[in-house]
This record gives sequence, structure tokens and C-alpha cells, in this order.
Amino acid sequence: MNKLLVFGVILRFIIPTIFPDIPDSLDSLVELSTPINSFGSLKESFFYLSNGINPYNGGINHHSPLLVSFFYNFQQLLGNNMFTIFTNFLYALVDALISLRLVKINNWYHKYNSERRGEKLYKISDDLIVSFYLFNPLMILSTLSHSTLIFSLFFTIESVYQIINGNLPRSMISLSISSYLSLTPIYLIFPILAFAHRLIKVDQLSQIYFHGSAVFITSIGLLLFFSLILTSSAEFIDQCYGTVIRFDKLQPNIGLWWYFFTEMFDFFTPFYLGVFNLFHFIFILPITIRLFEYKSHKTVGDGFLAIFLCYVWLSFTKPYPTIGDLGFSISLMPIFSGTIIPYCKLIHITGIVWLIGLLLSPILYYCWIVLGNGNANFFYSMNLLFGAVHILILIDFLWGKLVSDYCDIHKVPAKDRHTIRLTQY
Amino acid sequence: MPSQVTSYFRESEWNIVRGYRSELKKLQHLPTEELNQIAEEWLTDSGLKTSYHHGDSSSLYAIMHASRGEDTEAMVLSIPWKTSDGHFNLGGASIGMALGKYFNRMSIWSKNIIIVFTEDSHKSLRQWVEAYHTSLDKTAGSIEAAIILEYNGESDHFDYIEMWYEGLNGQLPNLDFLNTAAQIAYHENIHVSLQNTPGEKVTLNTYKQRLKVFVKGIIGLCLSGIVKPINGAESFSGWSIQAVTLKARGIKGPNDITQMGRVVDSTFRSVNNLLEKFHQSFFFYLLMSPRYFVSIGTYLPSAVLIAVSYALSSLSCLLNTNVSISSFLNSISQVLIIFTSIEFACFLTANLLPFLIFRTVTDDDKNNLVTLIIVGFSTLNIVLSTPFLWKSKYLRISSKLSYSLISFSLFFISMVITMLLILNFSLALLIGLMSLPLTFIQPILKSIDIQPSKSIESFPLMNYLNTMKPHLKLFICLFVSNPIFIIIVTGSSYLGDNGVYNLMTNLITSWNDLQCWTWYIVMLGWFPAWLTISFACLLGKFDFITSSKKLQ
Repeated sequence: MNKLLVFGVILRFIIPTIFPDIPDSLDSLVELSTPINSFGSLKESFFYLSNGINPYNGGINHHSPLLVSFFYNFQQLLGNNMFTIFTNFLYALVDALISLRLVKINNWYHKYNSERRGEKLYKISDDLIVSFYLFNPLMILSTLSHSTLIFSLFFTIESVYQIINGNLPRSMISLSISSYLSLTPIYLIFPILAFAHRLIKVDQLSQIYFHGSAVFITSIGLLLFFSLILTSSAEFIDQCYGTVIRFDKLQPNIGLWWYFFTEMFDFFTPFYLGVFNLFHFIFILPITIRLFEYKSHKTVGDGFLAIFLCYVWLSFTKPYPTIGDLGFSISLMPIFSGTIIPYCKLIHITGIVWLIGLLLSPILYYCWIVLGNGNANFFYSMNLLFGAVHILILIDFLWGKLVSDYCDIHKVPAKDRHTIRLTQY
Repeated sequence: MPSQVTSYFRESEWNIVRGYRSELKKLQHLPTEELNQIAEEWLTDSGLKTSYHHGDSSSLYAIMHASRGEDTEAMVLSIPWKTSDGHFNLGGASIGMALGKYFNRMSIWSKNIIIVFTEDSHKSLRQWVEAYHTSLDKTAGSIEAAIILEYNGESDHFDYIEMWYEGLNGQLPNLDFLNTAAQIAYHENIHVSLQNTPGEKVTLNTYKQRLKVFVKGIIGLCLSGIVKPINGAESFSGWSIQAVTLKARGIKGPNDITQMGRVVDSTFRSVNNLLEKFHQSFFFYLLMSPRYFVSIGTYLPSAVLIAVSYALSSLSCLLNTNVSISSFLNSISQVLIIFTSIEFACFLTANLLPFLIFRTVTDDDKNNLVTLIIVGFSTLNIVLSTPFLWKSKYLRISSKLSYSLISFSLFFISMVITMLLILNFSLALLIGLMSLPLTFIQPILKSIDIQPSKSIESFPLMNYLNTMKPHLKLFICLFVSNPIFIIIVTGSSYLGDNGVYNLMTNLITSWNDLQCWTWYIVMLGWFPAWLTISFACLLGKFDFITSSKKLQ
């Protein structure tokens, strides 16, 4: 595993160090970069800062103030060349940390579920988990483009890991940082608290919810407060979070939102903004509740699966998604190889749909923007295909879990488990 | 509406055309630079601004700024000094000069007009177009449409117009633009010929004739950029410019030279009236005659089905043999390593060959080199297509791995076709059809694999033939699906004299000359898949089942 880790880090560090143009050119790809997470716009804000202008003027920069000042200070300290090397190293390091966290989570998940079921489940090796993350081409591209998405991913996964560790406040602080960086993970607080409910031993269960949300709100408040002091104006709130909620930056990306809002009459926009934001959130609670691990039955429900599916849902309905979001959910999938994946029926179809989407999306974008013989529908059709991949993962895993639960509740013998056909009515 | 306004490019202009023509006739043996200088003088006299672009050869262009426009859009009339047949473009150049004078007198233009004089419509025009979008100082806004005009000889009359519209890399100009030109020609009583249809057949509207144009159109689109003569419309590809080449054919017919000018004039006036871009829906079509086309919804499913058939036969490679999905997944890393190294080798070859060709100095060297390349590829084809002759005892791979390799290659071809579907339908379709024998490899191998060894016939020869039958099939399947076989067949049967040599040379050099990527698609999409499959046949141990049966 160490070898893989070193190799993955070197790959991420060496390539952009030898070819410094790669991050910039990848940053211009519509699949990898959105106004919210583009490293280019972060660097743009350095210019504002060095000239004494508020970086949130002008609507270029939508990164959180603390992130901006973190990078800005290093840039001032190290100079341009060293700063490039530093960022290359930082991104490689964060990716390595994420993969280590995934290994820990995988080990815990296997142990926990084996104990719950009282049988030895199939365990995917650490090497594979690491490779699934570090050598996932989507994650490599996302890291090489220096998308700031990866920091938010790191703090999200850290938050899950801290729950496993039994440390609720740390988990909530991580989640608050993650939400502070990119807003979307804020919705994950529900599945994560539900996850904590089963895992963290406290005298009174309501403590988890009170303490958890108190820590979360306090730390997010502190972060905002520091940002406020740092920028001495509240403009960043509008620029960082308002832009996401109001979908101000109407540019093509691989998500589902942009097309609707380009085609719509202006007076409908506020209504549909409400609808889309509601849609973004609407399945979080149902998924959390359906997969909650109730005490009444030992093996029903799966808190970590709930977090995973919520993540997939959020990635599906995000206003500014990149393929890094989708790539991360694919890197998480092998963790379930002992429990849910044996019940999944659509993995191959999902894989092929995903592959075709990946191949055709840049081509159709090229047809639309460069050749001019296609139009927005061409590119958007591939976005719908990416949406279909999310939904296929979602229904496949959810249904797989429900079948598995059914088998447990009705004590279906082991030989029939994978051939049983259940239907909904 | 096209051709509803009267074009005034008539008798009075005829004299001007004749004047330019008689002058140009005297000058036609001058080199391009001097011709350009004289033409520049004339164009400046007509009141146009001129400028040069110096690439491999120098090109002259004149800009007429529109009196009513915003100066952001332009139309191009391109006149190559040498037509695609190699003659001096006497009529075309005279019409171009006269049109320049004529356009400048009219006050109706809202889009700029650029008249370009290049050495030919191949590399020099392509270079001008590229320079126009990247480095030229004097420009006139984005080019919306372009007409390349060719009119051989000094006759005042011609029979019909040949229309060439194929762009590079499978791109087509907007059908509305072609229809406009065809409609205007129709109102001028000029017949329009597509795909080299000879004069006496242009008015035919039979099923056979339409089919011929249709099939020739598919092949032509696939070969555009790599087959001479280059018509010129290719040079405008990739910059979202609608371009068409109009060639006057014949010297006797009822049409006079000013009618050619009127077609250009009326087409420009139609484009001039456009307020928006050309409509989205008409970029994907296959023409059967100037007035009939097949739309994308009708023809695309054919190539989709071919892609699906490759995917299915890839699946059948796993399901119909003893390879289970799980063992495929176990050997996937090996498959990927082998395939990637083959792909990498192909990539090196694909880059090396053009490099070598551009390094040659004399024509003889080039000739020898290309012949060597053709012979080399053919030898490789013959050697690898006859795996039963070269079975070595060393370096064998298990039949499971070779089935996995075949399966992966077929899936790869399927993905290549899928990627090309929208970009270059013709290439996707033809690659799909021509490498179709590759899908039969697995059933043949299986029949060798589980051959009930030695069924006894009375004649030893028959016995031998029976055992050889699947091997022969294997040979045919591999042999005919190799790109070099297709190149030789197409070159020798379809393209006439020296066809194979020209096709190969142009295929290899077209990326550097015109940015036509057919060579790379062949070398990185088709050839590696073929190589992998033939290696799998060569190295695979296909006696697995027989031996396991013997054990039982």
C-alpha cells in the first residue's frame, strides 16, 4: 500500500511540476472547472489582494476568504515559482490523506458489518481502495486541474472518519469547514448525525443532536466571523454562498441546472431557483431515515450507506458539479463490496453509460463551441447521461440494500440470496 | 429568398470579365508572386483594400468593407490561381476581379466581402484561413460563408456546375447554404452536379443515380483531405465557416460566364440578408441529389447499430468461451498493459512516419519511402494474418487471456465508432463495416479450439483441408480487415493511376498539411485493435479445451 501511495503522490506532484501548463489548461475544461472551484479564479484574487482591492469585487472570485488568504500568504511568502511547487505538493498530500482515510473507513466498515451480521464478509484489500482513489482518472484530472473541490472532499471524509473514531466535536468541526468551503456538504449534517447516533456512546442520545448541531453552528459562525474580520465586509457571503444558491454564474457545466436557466423566461427564474434548491435537499432526510440503523433489528439500515447515497444525490443536484464529484462517489463504491455490491444488478450498465458519457461529453462540447455544428442540446444530453449515472448508482445501491434487508428479515437462505427477485408493488 | 432579386452582373459586366480575361491570358505563365502584384493593382484600382499573407506561398486578399454593416462578419470569395485539375483558373480569376469591382459599386452589403487569391486551394488556402484567424493584421470579422470558384479556360460558355462541399474530418457546411446555391443555379437554368456525376446524367433522378451519389458522398466524406484533387471547401473546416466549391464544367453549354458570377452574387446576397447564424438542424445530412438529402435521424442508427454489434460480439467473446466475467476482471490489468503498449507503439509509428516523409528531400526518396511503408505494412499484415504458420513454442499466453484481449479490442473499436458518430459519421460507418470480419474471429477460434481432431476422410488431402478450413477462414478475416488492405484496395480500384501511393502519402501527411486527423484515427483506433486481435490469435494456446477433455 505504501508503494501505491508514494506512486500516487509522485504522479500528482511530478506531472504538474514538470509541465506547469497542465493545471491551467485543465482548469479551462468545462468538465473540471466551474466558477466556484476554479483555481484560476483563486489566483485572480491574488491580484486584487496585492493591489488592495476587495477580492470579492468584480464577481470573479467565489472562494472562501480563509482559503484565499491561506493561498495568498503562501504565495507572498514563497514567490511564484515556489508557490506552484507548494500547491502541487499540497494537492498531492491532500489526496494521499483522503486515500488513507478511505482505507481506515473501509477497515472499520468491514469490521463493523461483519460483527453486526456475525459472519465474515468479503473484504476488499487496502491496496485496491487506495488505487481506486489515487488512480481513478477522474480524481487525477480533478487534482491536476487544482480544483479546490478536493479540500472540501477531504474535510467531508474527515468528518465521517471522526465519527468512526468516536469524536463528535471534531467531526462537526470538519464538516463545518467543508461546508464553509463549498456550501453543499452542509446538507450532509443529517446523515452524519444519524450515523453518530448509532456509533457514539453517550448517556443521553439527544446529546448527540444538541451537541453536534451546537458545535457545528458555533464553528461555522466562528469561521464566518473570522472571514468577516479578514475582509472587513460581508460581501464574501453573497459571493461565496449567494452565487451557489441563486445560480448567478450561468455557464455550462456538467450539471443539470444551467440549461434550464438559459432556456427560461426571466420572470420564472425565482420560482425555479426555489424548486431546484428544494430538489437539491429533498431526498436527504428520506434517505437518512430509511437507512437509519434502528435498534429493533440488528442488520437493517446502514448509516454509512446513507451518507454515501446523500453524497451521490448532492452531486447529482449540485448547481456547479465537476467530474471530480462523480469520480469521488465512484472511489467510495468499492467500500461496499462486501455488503451491498453483491446485490447490485446494474453495475455494468452504469459503467458503460458512464464511459460513453465521459467519451462523448468533450466531443459534443467541441461540436457546440468550436465547430458550431451542434448546439447546447448536444452537450446537455451528455449531462443528462451523467445524471443517469448518478441515478443508476442511487437506485442500484438503495435497492441492493433493501433486498439485503429483506433477506435478513425474512431469513432467506444464503443460496437464494443472490437469485431472489423482489418487486415493488 | 434566394434568387428573387435581380442580379445586375449581366451583359455590361461581361465586357469587364472579358477585359480581365484577355489581360490575364497573357500573364498566365507568370509565377504567383507577380500575378498577385498585378492583381493587387487591379483590385486597388477598383477601390478595395489589399493585403498579403506569406506562408509557404504568398496569398493576396482584398477586403471590401460593407457600407451598412457593423464590420463584424464577412463572406469570402476564394480564387485559386491553379484549379484542382492543375489548369490556370482563367475564367474564375476574371470573374473574381469583375465581381470585386461590381460588389464595390453596390450599397446593399451589410457583411464584408473578402476576395482571396491563393496559389492553389490546398495547403496555401488552408494556411491563409488559419492565419486569418490567428495572425493576420488586416481582417474583416468572422467569416460566415465562403465560395471557392473554379472556371477553367477561356470559353464564354459552360455546361453545368460541379458542387463540392465535403469538409475535413467529416464536417459539412450548412445544408441551407448549399440549398441556396443550388436553388439559385436552378433559377439560372444551370444544372448542378454532385460527386463527379458526368454532364449527361446530372438531370437524372433515378433510384440508381441517387444511390450512386449517396454512396460516393459517404466515401468522399471519409476520404476528404486525403485524396487529390483537394477541392478547397476542406480548407475552411474547423472555423465554423460554411464553404462550398463551385466548378464550371464543359465549354459548350447554354450558360455564359456571367451566370457563374450571378450565382456567386445571389448567394452572397442571400447570406448578406441573414440576421442570425445558420440554423442548427442542417449540419448533418447526406446528399443524394442537389434537392434530396437523408437526415441524421435516418442514417445515424445504422452506425449506432454497428457500434452496438461490436459491443455485443465483445461480450460474446467472454460469454461464449470459457472466460467468465470474473476471470476477465482478474486479467484486466494484463489486458490493459498489453493493449496500452501496443497503442503506444502505434502512436510512435503514427508520429514517426509523417516525420520521416517530411524529412525526405527529393521526390525519389519520398517515393521509395512510401513504397517501403506500404510494403512493410503489407508484410506485417500477411505475417500476422497467418498465425497457424508461426506458432512458436515459447511466449504463449493462455486462451483465456487471448479471448479477453479480443474482447477488449472489439469493445475498443465499438467505443471508437461511438466517439466518431457525430464528428465523422462516414468514417465511423466505414471503419465499422470494414473491420467487421474481426467480430468473426472468436467463433472461428472456438471451432479450432474444440475441433474434434481427426475425422477420417478417404483422401489425405481432404483431411488436411478440413483441418485447415478454420485456419483459412481466420486468415481471410484478419487479412481483409487490416487498414493497409483497405488502403490498397481503395487506392487501386477507386482512385486510378498511382492511387495506392497517393492515398498513402496523403493519408500520412494530411495532418501536417490540413489538420485532417484520419491518419491518427486509423493508427490509434483501428490498427491497434487489429494488432491486438492478431497477436491474441498468434500467441494464444487454443488447445485448452481439447487437452482438458483428454484429461477427462
